[in-house]
Amino acid sequence: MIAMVAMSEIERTYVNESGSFDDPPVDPATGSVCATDLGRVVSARQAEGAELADLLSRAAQADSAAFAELYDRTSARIYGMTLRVLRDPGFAEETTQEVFLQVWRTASSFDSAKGSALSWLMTLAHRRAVDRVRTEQSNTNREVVFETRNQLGEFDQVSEEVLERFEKRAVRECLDTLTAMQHESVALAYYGGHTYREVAEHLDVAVPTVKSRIRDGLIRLRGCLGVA
Amino acid sequence: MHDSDIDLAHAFALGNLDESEQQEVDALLAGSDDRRTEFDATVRQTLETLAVLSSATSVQPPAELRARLLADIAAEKPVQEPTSLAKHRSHADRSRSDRWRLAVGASAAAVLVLIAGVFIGQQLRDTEQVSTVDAVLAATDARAATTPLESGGSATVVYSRHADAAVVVLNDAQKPPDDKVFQMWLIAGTTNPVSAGVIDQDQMATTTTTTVGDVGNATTFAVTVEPPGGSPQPTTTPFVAIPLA
Repeated sequence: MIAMVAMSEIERTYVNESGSFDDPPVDPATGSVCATDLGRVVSARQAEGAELADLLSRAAQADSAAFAELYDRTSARIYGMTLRVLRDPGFAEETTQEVFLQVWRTASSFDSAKGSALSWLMTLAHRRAVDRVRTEQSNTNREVVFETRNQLGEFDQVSEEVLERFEKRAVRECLDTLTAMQHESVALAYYGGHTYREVAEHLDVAVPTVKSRIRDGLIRLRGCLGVA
Repeated sequence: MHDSDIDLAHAFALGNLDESEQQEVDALLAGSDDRRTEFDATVRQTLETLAVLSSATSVQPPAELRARLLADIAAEKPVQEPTSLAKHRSHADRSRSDRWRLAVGASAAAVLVLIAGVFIGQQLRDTEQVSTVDAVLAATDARAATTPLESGGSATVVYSRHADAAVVVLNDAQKPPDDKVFQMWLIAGTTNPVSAGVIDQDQMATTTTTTVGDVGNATTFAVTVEPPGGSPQPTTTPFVAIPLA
C-alpha cells in the first residue's frame, strides 16, 4: 500500500472535488494539464503505434528482423507487466517468451482496425500472465499495488528516449490523479487478476463500491492519457 | 451507456469476468447493435488505456531471452534437413546425450533450438561471439546442416549469407590429438580453402560452440587436424566437410 501512503492530501482533495472525468485533469503538483504535453504524447503514441503495426505485419510474413525490432521495442513493457502480475522473474521470463512466440505465430491475426498493435500485444501478454498466475498461485493472497515513482526509477533500465519519457511521465502523472482507493482496486483487478467480487472480498467492501472505484479510475485514466 | 454495461466492458478488458458476468456479456453481444457497439468501443478504449499503462511498469528482460527467442523463431523457419545422425552412433553415445540425439534426429529446426540453449548456457561469453550468434539466428536466410563424425559425435553449422557468418557446434566430438588443433576452413567452389579459425584442446567440451565470420560465397565448410596455431592450407584430409547451400 505504498502508493496509497505516497499520495498527498492535496491530491486526494483535488480528486474528490474533481468534476467531469472526460476533461484532462489538472496536475495537482504543477497546476498544469495532466500529461503536460498531452498532444505531443498522443501523437507520439500514434506514430509509435503505426510503426509497431508495420513491424507486426512484417513479422507475420516471417521477417525475423522485424520481429527482433518489435521485441526490442516492446519487450520491456511486456516483461515488466508480466513481472508485476507474476512477481517472479523466472515465471515472467517464461511468460514473456511464450507471448513472443505466440506473437510470431499469430501476428497475421492482428487487425489494426480493431485496436493498436501495443494493445494487441499487451492484451495477449496480460491474458497469459493472469492464466499463469492463476495456475501458480491460485490460493495465495497477493497484494498488488502500483509502484511509487522512486521505486519505478530504481529498476527502470529501459533506454529513455525522449518520447518514451514523455509517455512514462504522462502515465505517472495520470496514475497520481487516481484516489488511493481507485488505484488499489484497479491494481488488484489488473495486476492481481481478480474479479470484482474477489477485489471486494480482498478489500472487505461491497461489490458495487469496487465497481464504481474501478469504473471511475479507468475512465479517469483514459481521459487523462488522451485515449480516444 | 449504462454503468452496468461499462462495468462489464471494464471487466472484459481487465480479463476478470466471473461466470455470471460472462453470461451477461454473451447476452449483451447477442443483443442490440447499439448496445454492442458501445460495449465494444469501451472495451477497446480500456484495452488501449491499460496498454499505455505498461510504460510505467516497464523492466528490461534478461538479455538471454532475446537470443533464445530469436533462436526459437529461426527454428520455426524452413531449414535444410540435416543428415541423419542417430544411425551412426553407439548405444553409449545415445544414452549420454539423448536430448541432443532426439533433437538432431527430429529436424534442423530442433538443432537451432539446441544451439541456442548451448550458447546461452555456457559458452560464448565474449560479446562479439554472442552478437554473431544473435545475427545468424535472427537472419531470415539462416540455414542449418549437420553431419556425423566418424569418431563419434556430430558437427553442425548454422549459417547466414546475409549475416555473413556461421555458428559451428561440435557435439560429443573427440578432442584433437595431443599437440594438434582443429582448424576450420571455408571453401568457395574450386578456390583454395581459407582458414576460419582453430579450436584447440582446451576449447573442447561435450558441446563446443564457436563462430565463423566472412562466410561470403563459400560452398563448403570443412575441418582438419593441424599443428598448433593452424596451417596456411590444410595438411590433412578434412574429417568434416559440410556443403553450404
